[in-house]
Order: sequence, then C-alpha cells, then structure tokens
Amino acid sequence: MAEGVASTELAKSDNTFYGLMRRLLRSKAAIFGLVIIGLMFICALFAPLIATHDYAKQDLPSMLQPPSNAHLFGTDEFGRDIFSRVIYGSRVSIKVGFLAVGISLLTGLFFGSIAGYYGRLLDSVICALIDIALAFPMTLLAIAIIAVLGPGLFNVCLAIALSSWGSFARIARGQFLSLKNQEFVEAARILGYSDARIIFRHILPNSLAPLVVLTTLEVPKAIIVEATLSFLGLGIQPPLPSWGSIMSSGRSFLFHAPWITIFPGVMIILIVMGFNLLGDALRDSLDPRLRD
Amino acid sequence: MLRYFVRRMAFLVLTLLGATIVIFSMLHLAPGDPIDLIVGPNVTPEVRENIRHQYGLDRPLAVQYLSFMKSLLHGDLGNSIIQHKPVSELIAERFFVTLELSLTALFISFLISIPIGIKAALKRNTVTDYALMALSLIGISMPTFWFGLMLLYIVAFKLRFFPISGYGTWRHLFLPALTIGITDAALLARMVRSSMLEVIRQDYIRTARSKGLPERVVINRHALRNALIPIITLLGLRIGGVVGGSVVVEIVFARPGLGRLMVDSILARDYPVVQGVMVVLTTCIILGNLLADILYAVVDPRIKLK
Repeated sequence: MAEGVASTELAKSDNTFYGLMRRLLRSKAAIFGLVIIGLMFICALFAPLIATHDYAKQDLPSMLQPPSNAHLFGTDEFGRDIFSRVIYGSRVSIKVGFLAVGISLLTGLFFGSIAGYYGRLLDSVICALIDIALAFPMTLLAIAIIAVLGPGLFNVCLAIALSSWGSFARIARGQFLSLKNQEFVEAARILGYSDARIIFRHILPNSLAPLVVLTTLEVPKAIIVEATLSFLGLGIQPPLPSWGSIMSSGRSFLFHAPWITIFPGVMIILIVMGFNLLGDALRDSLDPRLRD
Repeated sequence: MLRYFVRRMAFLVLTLLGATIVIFSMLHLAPGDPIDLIVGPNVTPEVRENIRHQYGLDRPLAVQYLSFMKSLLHGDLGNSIIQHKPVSELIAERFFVTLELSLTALFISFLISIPIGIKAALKRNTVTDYALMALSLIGISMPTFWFGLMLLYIVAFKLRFFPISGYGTWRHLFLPALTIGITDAALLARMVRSSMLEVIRQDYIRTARSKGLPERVVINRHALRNALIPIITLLGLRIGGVVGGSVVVEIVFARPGLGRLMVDSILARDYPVVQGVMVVLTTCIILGNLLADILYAVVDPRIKLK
C-alpha cells in the first residue's frame, strides 16, 4: 500500500536523497562507474601494499625494460618501476581532483548564492564576472595561472579551481534565484529568520542536487587538466609521481619505451570514465526527463 | 535583429575588457619583482629604481593598465624580456600555425561528430547507439596530449604514414589536427545527439510522420534542418576547447605555434609574452563565439525576439 502512495508521489518528483540513490543504483553505468572509482581509491589508499617496488628507487641496470613479470608495466630511464609509480600516481590525481573541485565548488557557491539571493547590482556584477571567467578555456586559463603561481600540487589545484568556479556559480545562482521565491523561503522570512539562516538552512540544502552532479562531472576535468599541466612541466614536480609527469618524462622515450606513456594514460581514461559514467547517471536519475 | 546585435556587441566589449583586466592584473600581481627578471639581483637600488621608472612599473596598477590598453589598441603588446623583440612580432610569426591547426581540427571534429550524433539519435537505445556512445565516452575520457602521443607512436613511428614532427605541409598538419578533431568530436557527438533527440520529439515531426511522409523525408527535410541550428551554437562553444587543445598538442608534435611560445615563455618567466599570447588567444575565442552567435541569429529567425 505504501508502495502505491509512493508511486504517485514519485510521478511528481522524488528528489529526496533516498529516491535519488535508488534510481541511481538501478543504472548499470552508475555501478560500473562506482566500481572503477572504488578501485582507484583502493589503489590510492593502499598504494604501499599494492606497489611492487619503491616508486622512487633507481635501478640503472634495468632501465627502459619492457613490461615483464618483474616489472608489470616496464621501467623508465632510471630503471624505476612504472607499475609502482602509476599506483602512487593515483594519489595525486584523486587529491587534485577533489581538492581543486572542492575549492571551485565553494567559490562558485559563494558568488552564485549571493548573486541569486540578493539580485540587483550585485547580481549583475557577479554575472559579468562569471561570463568573463567562462570566456577562457579551462586548460588555457589554468596554464596562465600556473605561470603566475608557479608549479606544485596546491598551486595546480588553485589554478584549476580559479578556471572552473564559473560553472558552479552559474548553477548555484540559478538555483537560488528560483528557490528564493518559493513558499517555504517566504515562510522562513515571515518568521523573521536571518538571511544567513535562510541561505544555509533553507535554500542551500534544496539547491545541492545539481551541484552534486556538476561536481561529479568536474572532477574528471580537473584530473585531465592536472595531467596536462604536469605533462607540460607546469604541474606536479618530480620526484612525486603524477600520471602527467610520468608521461612527460616518457615522451622523450616514446619510440623506444612506449609503455612509460601508455599505462598512465590508460589509468587516466579509466578514472575519468568512471566519474563521467557516475555523473551522467546521477544527472539522469535527478531529472528522468533528461534521460535518452 | 539590430537590437540583438547591439546588445551582443556591448557584451563583447565588456568581456574583452574584463578578460584583459584579468590577464593584466594576474600577471602584474604575480609574486616576485619583475625587475629581477630584467637585471638580476646584483645591482644597486638606484639602478633598480631607474629601470622600474623606465618600464613604468612605479606607476599605479590602474594607470599601467590604461597605458597597456592604449598600446594594445595600437597593436603594441610590449617587448619580450628574454628575446628582446616586440611581442607582437613573436606572435605574428606563430599565429598562423595555431590558427591553421585549430580550424582544421574544428572541421574534422564537425565532420566526424555530426553524422555520428545523428546516427546515434535516430538509432536511439539500440546497439548502434550504445556502441557509438561508448566510443564517445572513451574519447571524452582521453587526455588530448596522450591520444596525440599514441597516434604519433602508432601512425607516424610504427606505420610511417606521416612525419613524426615538424611543420610545413598538410602531412605535418594531419596528425595534430586529427588528435584534437577526434577528442573534440567525442564531446560534440553527444551534444549533436541530444540536440537531434530534442528535435525528433517536437510536434511538427509527429505531424510530418502522421501525414504519411516517408521517414527519410521526415528526417532529412524536417528534423535535420532544425537540429543543425543549435549545432551552430556548439561551434561557438567548441572554439575555446579546440584552441586550448591546440596549445597542448603543439607541444606533442613540436609545431612552432602560440602554444609552444606560451609554454616556453612561462618556463622562462617571460611575462610580457605570456600576457600577449593570452590576450590574442582569448580575443580570438571571444570573437569566434560572437561569430557563432551571429550565425545562429541569422539562421534562426526566432532569435530576433530575444
């Protein structure tokens, strides 16, 4: 009986967390994505246990060896084990992915909510800022910001966040704009609640869903930009192994030792694909009308 | 229509102004004293102040920006600190290399993605659709430079179909353009697909079908034409991505373009060059977006009302 009631409710919109998760887990793509992401997290967390060698240990006699039982993914020009370096590299990618997108989300949420909630001049100014920020392509802007900040893990995160906060701000603004005139916000205002309370307790929780979807789709972008920056020598600096920096040094040996370049790339494809699958499924389960 | 263009132009000026302010202040608020890059640390404070004055670096930032904009409007982007040449000259030497690559890549991307996107939409929820979208997903998930390296290894090195690096003939252009074209097409194919699906759901398609038109006519004459309109907007959206991709792929294929110039200048801390390249690339992208928007308005008379 409860089922019957639930289904009429569902027809309207069941965007509660529970309903969302149930629809999400029905999607094979989402499960597949989650499994890939889960495996990557295991790699990152248990890197010391999974890695077969010390990722930084040089072993010149066995340099540039093709994949074998001793070195699953081969070795680089210093005889370092690519498999172990790739496993440790997952730490950098995951760290950068989440840190960068976290900063980006908070920045975007801050500006977007102010613009949407207060409107007027503040809204126009912030909208202009968002438009300008989105006029730059992400990779290009991130490269330019690194030119100023210099390379390094945290700077890479900052550069990515500064070049991607615009999309978060735009979504947050739209959410706040449409929610601020809803009855429950009106009610809160009549009760005399402060703006801060209305924003954080009433509007924010209701505006999170599309932001969660965007977050899932921005993490893989951040991972690719990090790899690109590191590949150009502007990102993570040696000896810390990042997938991008492994490929950057592998590039010089591409024709004689392609494995140095192939495997980190495959890892990136996997993790990015995992997030994209999950993000797409999340978006579909949030708004089934979008599904095709 | 005129009002739309006027508003669009006003927005263009605003974005260009904003973008130059962002680029300019970013590179001038950078930590570290630019004088160090020009003379090195071992000079007397008097000399430093003289140089600071000579370069106008002792003036307020806003004044510096205005004089930067004044020179910019005269086509003067300052001088390279390292190469002692005008930045505009350095950019002019390489501009065409990047333009040629970006345009070819954009062309390839559309050539691949439009038929794939349409095919997937028409065969929605069949094996064909799933296979095409799975391919597109892999394409989206690949870093562009990695795909370039793989093409370089397989097509240029192993199969020897194309030269490994260099610049000059179409054979040098093909692999880099294909690299960006394919990765971009992966993203675009999804957009084309949903744009086509959007159209197929419209009432006039149902009308066309119910009045007994053959499916071929419904698709070619009614659906396709309308689906192509939003695809023009996608053209504008992709320009930025393609230019960004060119910058990176130029490094992979050792093409002497703006990307190469920019990365070299960053590593050498040659800020005026970085600033100049950013200004030129951003301007191109913003102008490209404008072009796509205008094209959109011209093709679709309904936009006038907006």
